Amino acid sequence: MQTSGNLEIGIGLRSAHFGELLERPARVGWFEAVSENFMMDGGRPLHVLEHVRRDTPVVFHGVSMSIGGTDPLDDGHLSALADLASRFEPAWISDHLCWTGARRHNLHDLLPLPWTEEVLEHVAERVARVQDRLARHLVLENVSSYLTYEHSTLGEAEFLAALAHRADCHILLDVNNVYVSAYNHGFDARAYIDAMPRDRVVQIHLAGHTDMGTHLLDTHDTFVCPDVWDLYRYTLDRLGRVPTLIEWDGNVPPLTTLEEEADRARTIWKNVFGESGAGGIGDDHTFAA
Amino acid sequence: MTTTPSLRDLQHELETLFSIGGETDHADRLADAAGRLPIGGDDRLAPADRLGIYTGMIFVRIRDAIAEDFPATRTALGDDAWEDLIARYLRAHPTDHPDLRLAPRHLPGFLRATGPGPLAELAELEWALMESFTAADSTVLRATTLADLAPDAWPEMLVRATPSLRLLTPRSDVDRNRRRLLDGEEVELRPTSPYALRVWRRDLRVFHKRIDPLEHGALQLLRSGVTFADLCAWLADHDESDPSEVAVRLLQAWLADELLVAP
Repeated sequence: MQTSGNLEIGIGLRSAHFGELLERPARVGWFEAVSENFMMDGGRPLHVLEHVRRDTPVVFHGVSMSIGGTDPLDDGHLSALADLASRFEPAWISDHLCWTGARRHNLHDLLPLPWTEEVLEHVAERVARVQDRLARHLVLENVSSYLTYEHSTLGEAEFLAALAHRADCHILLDVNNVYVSAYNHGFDARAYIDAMPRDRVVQIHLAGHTDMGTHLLDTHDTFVCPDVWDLYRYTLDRLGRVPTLIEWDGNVPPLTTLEEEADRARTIWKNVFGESGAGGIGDDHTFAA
Repeated sequence: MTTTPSLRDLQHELETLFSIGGETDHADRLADAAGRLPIGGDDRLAPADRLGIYTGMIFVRIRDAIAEDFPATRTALGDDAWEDLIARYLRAHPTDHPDLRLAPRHLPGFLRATGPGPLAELAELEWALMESFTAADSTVLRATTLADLAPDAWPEMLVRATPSLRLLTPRSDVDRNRRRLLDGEEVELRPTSPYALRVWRRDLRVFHKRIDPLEHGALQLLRSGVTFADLCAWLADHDESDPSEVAVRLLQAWLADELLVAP
């Protein structure tokens, strides 16, 4: 099994494609598996993950760590994650910079935090504990948001960069989420990208969203829009060869459609860095687990 | 006038607020929270509107995720009744597990306590299918392994069912009703004579099959494992036929269905 690699473009491992993936390898460089979807005792999902992992690098992406929550960290969840990591040796493990519930209730949504020094300290301390438990860097993703808190004293990008530095964690930069939140809150998406520490960003997400008229909703159920492709190109220019993943979670299309969307990302990647992939300005993002 | 709450207090307030999807005083509670909490707003969306995006989204996500595992139960109820059921269920059983897949684990029991029996049985079958789908893997016992077994080893041979086995004793045509509902047929859910069903996974696919009371009783023993001698003794107590003959007949069926685990 591969444990790391010079990853370029990947897609999410989704149950809609399980049958096809058992028949043929996907035309992508790597897969991202939602950790919680594989925290089970056995059955087809784990069988498929094992099958694709034989030949293809995998990363784990969680949705329930609640790193910004005020409930105690869920030790059972961390143990399950550690067990999964031990079995499948992902190139890295990511989750979201958010909170997902309180009083032991899980809302199953990625809820925004106030961007304050107090919250930064709180999250950095929890990240350190998770990293100790998993014995690896944690990768945290910026979420799409629809509200802000009046008492925030930092910008989101400033908070994320400071957290990466203070907690010694890595960043999953969701370019679509930057675009969605920039629209919803009226900030400059390119300034957000500029504020990202390039030595900390290890992965990019690209996804589709829905225009609701008053706001953009991060739906992951359609193609990446032209503006987000432009922002992606800008991001590669600024941050270098960051492994990129196409996310598609709702109304999941055939595998070939996702492969074609990955091809679009690969074309931009090659335009930025050259056909060989060696002509770019960025670092070679190769990460050991 | 808003004050700045601690992160903990803020999250507790929002957790309560975001759990109200499907409730009738939804708009009033959003407006009240927007007046008390330090939520930003602008010309496009007021603070209450922004809170409302989350409230709606959270309820819909959980409702639809549960529907994926209960397609026939949802079809039997229809959209409005399903929405009402999930709103009532989530008030009684707020999601408390990191895995959204487990959010409906109390739903069959909730329906059993609050709804008509045949509907609860439909949900019980659909949850059993889901549990079986993700149950622990095991090594299948093959007929060839038994063929190689020395005759004097048979009495002490441990016979154990796959961890994916689930046993149900419905009092309605739950298996046939589910099929008809998924095929888009109109179905009247009503009680019938009781019978037994086994649900199990074979080759990563989940199956269900009606079984007689004798097999149901035997499979209950096999869930924790039993020696072949004890299985024969139990069969002798519960059936007038030759227990060895019955045991062999059952074993053959279970082997064919890959229902047994290798010792």
